[in-house]
Amino acid sequence: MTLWMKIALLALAQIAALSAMIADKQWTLNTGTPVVLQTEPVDPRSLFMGDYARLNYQISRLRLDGEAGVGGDKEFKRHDTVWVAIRPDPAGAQAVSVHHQRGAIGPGLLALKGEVQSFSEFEWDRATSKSVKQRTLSLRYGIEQYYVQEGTGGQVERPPDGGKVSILVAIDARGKAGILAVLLDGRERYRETLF
Amino acid sequence: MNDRGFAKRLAQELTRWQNEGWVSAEGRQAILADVAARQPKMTWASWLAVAGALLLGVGVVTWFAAHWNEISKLMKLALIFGALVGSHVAHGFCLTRATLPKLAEGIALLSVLFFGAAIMLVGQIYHIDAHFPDGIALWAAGGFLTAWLFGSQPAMVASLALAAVWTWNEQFIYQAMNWPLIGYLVLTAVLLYRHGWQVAVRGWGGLLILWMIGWHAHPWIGADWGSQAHIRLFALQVLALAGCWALAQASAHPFARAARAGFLLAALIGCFAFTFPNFALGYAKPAGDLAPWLAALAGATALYFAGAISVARASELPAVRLGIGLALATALALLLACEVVLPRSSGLPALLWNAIFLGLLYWLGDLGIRHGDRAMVNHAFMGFFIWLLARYFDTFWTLMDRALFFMAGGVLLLAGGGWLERSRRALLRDIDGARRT
Repeated sequence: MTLWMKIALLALAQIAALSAMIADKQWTLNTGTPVVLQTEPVDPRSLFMGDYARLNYQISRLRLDGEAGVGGDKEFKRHDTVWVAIRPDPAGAQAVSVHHQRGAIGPGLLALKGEVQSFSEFEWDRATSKSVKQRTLSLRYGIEQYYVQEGTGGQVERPPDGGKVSILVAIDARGKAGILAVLLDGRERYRETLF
Repeated sequence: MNDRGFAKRLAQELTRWQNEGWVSAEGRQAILADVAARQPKMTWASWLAVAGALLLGVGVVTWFAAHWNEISKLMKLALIFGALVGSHVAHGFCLTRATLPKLAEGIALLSVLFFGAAIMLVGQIYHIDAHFPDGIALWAAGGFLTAWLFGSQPAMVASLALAAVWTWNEQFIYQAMNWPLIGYLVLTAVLLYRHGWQVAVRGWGGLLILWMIGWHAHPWIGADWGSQAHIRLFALQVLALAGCWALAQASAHPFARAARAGFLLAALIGCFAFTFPNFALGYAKPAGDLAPWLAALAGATALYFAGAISVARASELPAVRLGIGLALATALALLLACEVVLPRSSGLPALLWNAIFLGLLYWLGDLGIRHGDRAMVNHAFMGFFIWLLARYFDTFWTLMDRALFFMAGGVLLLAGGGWLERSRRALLRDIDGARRT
């Protein structure tokens, strides 16, 4: 193989790998079911993490016990892969249950793949000043970062004048999610396109 | 040493060799002329061109960075792909010029860095927030492909460093077994075996050992660090690493020669850990079914004795020395097998471990002297010194609050360390002298 053929092969292989990353994301956005997710305020942004908004969703933290708790499995470990049953709702999708296996999710619900960030068994009850049993799951879905124009990340994380930020995501058949659009008070602020 | 440094040192040495009568004046001139003729010349014009290219590159990068937000996605992609392809073309250009071998190596490394930057930028543009180690693995694969196609050691070293970051994240952060790394290790071993790159082979050995250490972070071994499963696994790993060292020691291939120092160091550190009386006592919780451990022990023992037999065959040691070595090897294997099968219930095995460890150090030092292997002699001396220090602290720990503890420790360090270092230097001089003759 000549030198220039080797260079062409290397360039093609690397460009193919990068294109595959884009194609995979675009496949999720094009074929996935659109779902609106409500966000929650996050801690102040780290200056060392680049210019992106960190997004925290209502479904990022799931309670497993009590009336507000979701159904499904109850024992998890950090970095476990989990499947969250999502019921779409224009006002904001709701998590119904969380499972170790995708097959446990019933028909009519969307399966969203996540990763356990932390699992706690107790939480502090301020009313009684006691620690009470309340299993809580913190999850990551791969849609927690959104790169924005320099200087505007804070507007997405903490919108001015009490505006409400929600995110339109697409959930594909593999349970992967991608951000389709950022909504400010229900109106599109940023829309994702291929080019 | 670089080419210019080599020529300077050679000129100094040649003067001495000429004075000693080993080289004639004509021979000296001929050697220097030959070296000068083979050295690539970097003229001031070349340096200016490199500086100009760097300045231009920095200017272009900072301009695009300042205007990044205003650039469309398509343009961003074109820039990323263009920079990547451009780095490969520049690398190819340098390779076609015989006078720019160092620059070609530098640009090969730069192209690996560009590929990493391209992965991160594409991830940023398309908001790809995937499993972090996958991105590092892809980057390492790109570096490996560069090394494979162009025979570039810097690209290989960069790829190995990235693979270490990849496996560190998978095994220690995500606590998942990094099976794909086996494929990477095999492929890189094939390439390194072919080229025999010394630095990259050492990095390969380090990566293998890091991967093996990472097994202890996995849930399958038991989240409970008090379980004896960790000790069993550790003993098996030491046995396997000792076997790898022995196999590498028996081979004259550059790959084996470069890898063996790392295996020896890892195996010695493992053996040293067992010399502590309390090392395995805290790990008394049962480790479950013994059968799979026995199967693993059989595999590791086979590797170990294959190595020991290879060393014995390749060695030119006298029969008595060889017999001592084989007896020590068998004792080591037996002790490790005991650690796998029987949980420690007292500090007694540590006594045997200390005896075997000292015997091994002595035998390794002897082997190093006979084979003229400076690294092995250094390992033996360093091991002995650390062992001495550890036993001093173990024995006199209760006297920590006494001034005598520190005074005796200081004397031990000064006198013992000085004596050991003098002995080591004398031995190394002898080795060098034996080489010259």
